[in-house]
Amino acid sequence: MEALYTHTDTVNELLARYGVKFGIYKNGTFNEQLFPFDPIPRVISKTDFDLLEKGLQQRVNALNLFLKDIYGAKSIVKDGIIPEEFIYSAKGFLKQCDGVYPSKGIYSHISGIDLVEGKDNKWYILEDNLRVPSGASYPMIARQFCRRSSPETFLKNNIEDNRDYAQMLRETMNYVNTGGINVILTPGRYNAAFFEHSYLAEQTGAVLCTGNDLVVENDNLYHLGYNGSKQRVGAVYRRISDEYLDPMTFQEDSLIGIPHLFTAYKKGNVALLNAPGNGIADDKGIYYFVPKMVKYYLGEDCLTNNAPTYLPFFEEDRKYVLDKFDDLVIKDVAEAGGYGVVFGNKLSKEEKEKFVNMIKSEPRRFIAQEVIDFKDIDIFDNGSRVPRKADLRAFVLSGEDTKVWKSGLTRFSRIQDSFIVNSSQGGGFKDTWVLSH
Amino acid sequence: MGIITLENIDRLVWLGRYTERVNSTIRAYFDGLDSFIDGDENFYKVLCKQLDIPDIYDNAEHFTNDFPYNENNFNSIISNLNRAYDNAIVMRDYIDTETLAYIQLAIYDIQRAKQGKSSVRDLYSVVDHIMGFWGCVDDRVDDRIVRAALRAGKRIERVYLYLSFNKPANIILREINLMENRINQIGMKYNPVVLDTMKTMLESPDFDYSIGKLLFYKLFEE
Repeated sequence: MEALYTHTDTVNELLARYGVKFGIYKNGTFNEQLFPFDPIPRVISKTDFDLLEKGLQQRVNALNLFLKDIYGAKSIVKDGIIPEEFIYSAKGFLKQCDGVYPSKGIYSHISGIDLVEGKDNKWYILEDNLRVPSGASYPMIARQFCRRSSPETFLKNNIEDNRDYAQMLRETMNYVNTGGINVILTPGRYNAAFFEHSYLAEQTGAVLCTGNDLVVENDNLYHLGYNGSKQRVGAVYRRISDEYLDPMTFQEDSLIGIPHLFTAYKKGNVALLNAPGNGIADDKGIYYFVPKMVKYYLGEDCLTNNAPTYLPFFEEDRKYVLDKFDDLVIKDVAEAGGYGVVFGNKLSKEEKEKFVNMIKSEPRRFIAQEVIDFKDIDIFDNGSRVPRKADLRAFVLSGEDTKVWKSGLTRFSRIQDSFIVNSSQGGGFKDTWVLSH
Repeated sequence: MGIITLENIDRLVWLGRYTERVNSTIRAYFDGLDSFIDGDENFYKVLCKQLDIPDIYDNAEHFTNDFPYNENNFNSIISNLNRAYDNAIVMRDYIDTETLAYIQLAIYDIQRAKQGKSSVRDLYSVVDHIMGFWGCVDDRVDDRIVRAALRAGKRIERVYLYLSFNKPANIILREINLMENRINQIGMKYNPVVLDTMKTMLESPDFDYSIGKLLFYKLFEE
């Protein structure tokens, strides 16, 4: 493995050569930044991965059943497993999706599940991302450069090949495709994840589109050709948020959406990956209920571990959260990307008082979690090997079967003891090796 | 790819144009430096006139520092390269990651040239990468329309620049014929009467370059 470390600069130079970047807005200005790659991989043993795989498949299957239920019969609410306040007051619940059944009944086709490995050697789920999770492209392309830079490393170690992600994604799109081409819908080049959109389009053979390239006619979606021709679209891997998808159904001033797309989708004439309305299932408040969902829908014990979570919405939990405020991490359910995350012990007296008042007045807006003491992973920092916090985003693809990609995006913080690993906040990434035996 | 939007055809044409402009203006810039060394302090005035760009420069030295590298100067080489990049970055799925990488490398090298440690070498590298880009287009881009759109842009820009630089009429005529093939392939609108007039004029011994350039502007007018 050490042989690979000598090629750190080479791999980063190759990533730069191929424009492997993410976009970031700072003070209203868009900048593209390279995503720093660290060569020390996260290594997951076969035994660990086999367990994780089963747990993640189970979790995503349950979440898909939850979505089907919540936009259908709502049995889980009727049976009192989840209080209705957690459904109807959630920003992610879209009433427009009520009663809509997507192609093949799949809602979350591409799920990005964020995990950390605790010092107790257990994996904990931090959050489920079921809307437009990004990040698979980075380890995909980095693996290619690592292999070329240090073939001996990959000859000597039994590492599962992760270059099949595009194939998995293509199969997922094809499975739900209602007849026509596959497209990837991007908001445009000034989106933070535009590299990924364009790279996945290239790798899967899907057509990269913006809203202007697509039109709905007679409740079918078409891609417009330069010579006036139209080609039917059967599946849209959309990388834009629900609210911008269709100005006729959602946010009416959206300029990046496609008018009447939702009607075409509702009539079953096009598949949307992921389905609109998934935000209800990856709401930070709903996270608390996922183990209960697994039991309810699958009749199984949940194989994945949630971080111990408290909902201030419940009086008992609220009391605990206010008592133990300094020991907990508080998350605003409406925020993402590492924003809206507050460590109780890092706040000043005034800030704490302000926050406590917010929790009292808007208890549904927050969740509180025990701080998981997760394992550090070594990174190279100016030539020295130092431990840093890192998480793992696992990608679970749901098509004919539910499959876990034998890799993932390991993101790390560059700052000592910081738990914030997001690229938008200066973090880097690593390859994730799953060992084959 | 099978199907491509009008907007993407337009981007490919402009990608072809901007890459060709960067390539040709770097070469013209090098030629200009030679003239400067040989005592022609007004070389840049001629170049500005040839390229139809405003002469905003105080002197030759100002030009040599500003024209290649000033990103706030709309007509600079770096601005043209940035516009090539803007068009290329959204076409990854058509031109592929390998091909796109050459535009990215050109951007890195012109930025390095701007830092000034070895500007000439880095500008040569920009030209190398543009050549690499076109080699990759030939080698890796299979879609007939995508290739035609890129080449249409390249030929359009060449015709314009060759007229600007008073290249021999037979060379311009050759470029016009190549351009015509490409723009017909992608169904780009142009005025065939103007094109025929240009061809006829180029065959006459007293070809007037300024009229040729006026006709070029008329060629793609709606």
